[in-house]
Amino acid sequence: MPVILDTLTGTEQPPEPKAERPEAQRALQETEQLLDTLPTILIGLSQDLRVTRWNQMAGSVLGATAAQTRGKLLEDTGIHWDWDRIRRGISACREEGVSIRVDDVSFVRTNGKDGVLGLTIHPLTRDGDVFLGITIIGADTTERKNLEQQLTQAQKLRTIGQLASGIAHEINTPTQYVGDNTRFLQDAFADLMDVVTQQAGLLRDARSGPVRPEVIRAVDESIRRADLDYLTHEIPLAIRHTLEGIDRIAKIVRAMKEFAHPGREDKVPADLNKIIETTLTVARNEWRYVADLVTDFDRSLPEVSCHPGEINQVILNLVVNAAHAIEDQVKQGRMSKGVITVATRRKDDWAEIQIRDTGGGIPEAIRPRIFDPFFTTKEPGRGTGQGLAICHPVIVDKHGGRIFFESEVGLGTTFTINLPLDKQAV
Amino acid sequence: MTHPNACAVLFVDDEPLVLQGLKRMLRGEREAWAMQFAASGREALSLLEREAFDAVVTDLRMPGMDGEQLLNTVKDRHPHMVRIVLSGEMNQASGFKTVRCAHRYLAKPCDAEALKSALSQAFALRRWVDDRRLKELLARLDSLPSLPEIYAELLAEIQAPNSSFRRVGDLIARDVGMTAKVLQIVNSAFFGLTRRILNPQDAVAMLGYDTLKALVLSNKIFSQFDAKRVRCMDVNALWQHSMNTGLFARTIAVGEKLPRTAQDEAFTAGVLHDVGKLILAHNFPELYADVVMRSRAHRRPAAELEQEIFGGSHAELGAYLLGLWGIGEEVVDAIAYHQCPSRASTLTRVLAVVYAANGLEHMLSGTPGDEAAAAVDPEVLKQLNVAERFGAWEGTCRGICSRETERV
Repeated sequence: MPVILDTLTGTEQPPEPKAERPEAQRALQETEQLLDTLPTILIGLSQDLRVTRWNQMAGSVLGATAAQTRGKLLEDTGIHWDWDRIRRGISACREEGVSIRVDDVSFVRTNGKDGVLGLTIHPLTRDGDVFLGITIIGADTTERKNLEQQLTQAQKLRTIGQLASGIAHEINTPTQYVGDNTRFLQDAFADLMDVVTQQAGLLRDARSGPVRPEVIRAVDESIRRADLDYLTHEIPLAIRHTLEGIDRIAKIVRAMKEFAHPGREDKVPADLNKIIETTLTVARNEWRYVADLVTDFDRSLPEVSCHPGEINQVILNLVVNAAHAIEDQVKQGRMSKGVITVATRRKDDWAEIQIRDTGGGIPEAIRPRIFDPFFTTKEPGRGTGQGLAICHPVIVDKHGGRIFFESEVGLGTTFTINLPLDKQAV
Repeated sequence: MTHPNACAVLFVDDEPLVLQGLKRMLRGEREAWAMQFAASGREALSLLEREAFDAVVTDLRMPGMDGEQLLNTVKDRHPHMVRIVLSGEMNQASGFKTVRCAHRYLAKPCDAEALKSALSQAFALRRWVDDRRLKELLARLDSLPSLPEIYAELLAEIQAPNSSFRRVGDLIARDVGMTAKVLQIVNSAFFGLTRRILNPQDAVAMLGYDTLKALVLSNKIFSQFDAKRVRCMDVNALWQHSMNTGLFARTIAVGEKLPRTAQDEAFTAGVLHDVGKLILAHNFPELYADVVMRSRAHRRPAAELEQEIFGGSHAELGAYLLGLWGIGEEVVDAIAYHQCPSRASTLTRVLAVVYAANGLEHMLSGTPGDEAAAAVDPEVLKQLNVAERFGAWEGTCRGICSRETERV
């Protein structure tokens, strides 16, 4: 690219083209046209940050033409974008002499609405150290960003769809016994009222003189009919079970609400233990028939700045994988039930999450491929090959964390996630 | 405490709170039903080894042995039992697995009345068949044999690249066995429908093409008649008679301006009224050949001979099976009493229509069959309170026949 770069700076004199060099002039015009056809914003700045290039795309995205901006200080071009981040980017670029990537720079689109830009700020140097100026290239990434967000949301909704039948099952079961117990309480109340009525008769009799034996018999009979001992024992239990059932339903509905909550643009400080508990609750039906769950949470773990919705998703994928690994062992008759252990702890400047299963382990040969998109060993309908592939970028790219695993064939697999505890720089 | 001939029910669920809730809720029935509760499939099986039960009500998803495995084992080892699923499962695939091992599917949360009535209906079926061997035979049946031509045509149609859902529906509606099975499936709580579906076209439409295809091809809900096995009777003629009776019954019901549900019930009961013959002929070909022969030779109603030989008539057997499958009570009653309506506890319009349609079909089609039993009795028509309508019905059905003849 040196030829173009040379031309780009505009500062470097190929001095004003002269009439006696028509071929040079033609070449320059061609380059200008070429730059204008690029579907990319291209802005050239001189050493003192005056505009030397402003291609057509820059004009149409930022709403100022080349003629309006040429020769002006960048700061005086009057464009509406996040100046803070632009300035920081430019000074970083100057000082370090390296290209700086600035993503999601908010700006005002020509239609007056908010948008975002993805920019790269390149230094222009001669022989690597003489600073000649800056080139900013980039694009309006608003649509892409929107699509990405929709995709993330769609992915989440799909997961919820997959979980829906399990969640319904988790709700249907307590609803059954809440209904049955309430029905019992209704009948029991009627039986008790019968006893109470007979006893009221007894009281009336006692007040007005000697109690007639048939009144006592009637009370005894009502007590026998109601099976009072049984009711005395069962009614409190029925009430307790009803309340327990309501709690279980409320808990899963709450977890579902948290799980389905649309993610925020920014990272927020969040309690990892709580995020994990939510996920384990909504996914309970996926593991409970094949595994016992052990949680070993470090309750003193500081909050971690993260996208909770995406961490939910990662935990969910890992837990479902763990359940599937165990289920395969159960189906092959190697065990009747396995164990999934989910632990959190602080490790230096990292928050660590571990998800351990007692499944069959990951065969040596496929270990390098497990994070690859579409790689799956599961039959259709059970896995898409997207689960782990999603985990990797979420942890590594979005959170600056690490994800790795240890596996022993026949014994199980442990996935470890490390998330940085320090406040993330943007 | 429990009455000596109380019905014994075994409930199975891995959630102890569900079992305790059921136990409390069903306490009012403790004198009529002997109830036991098991927390796993294994526990249930060991209880079944020690004690006799009439019915099992089980959850589906349980660790270790799941409900499907349990029901298949029960079907195998204790075939006389009524098998009911009570599940909170919403996953289609796991619901489909039960279409052959469970008689009924109830969805959690299931209200007390629905559970009680499913059980009492099942136990009430004893009034028709109480012989253990017959009960075993009937409770083991997971499909009714279809006419081989229709079965082959259906398989071809459903697998054809350009198959037509409409044609699939029409084929199913032309077959007695398929009609019964789709009605059982679509009315199981698994599909969560609130209204009862009473005719095969609606059933097929409700199931949808993909579901139906999966049920036919993977879950094998239909089977076919082994024509070589059944030489004793003309299966095609039985089909023709069943379909005609359905058509007559519906036409009469429409003419009488009965409500839409009663029209459907009349049609379905008409189509299914002789499934008992199908079952007997298919399972006891030699014995049933004897019934057919003696019935013709001595002009005795087949039902009488069936009672003597098998301990139950085809009407009662059919009603027992369809009752087990949860087909509505009106339909089942009409089938049970289609030859002797006066024995029914309530004389419904549907029963009257099916009785008349059956008699008219025998009379008008002239196909050899159970004439001795089918002759319409003016006394019965009077009891059914339709004596003065019968003439009009006959006219209607004659009309259908002559139109059919013209078409052919």
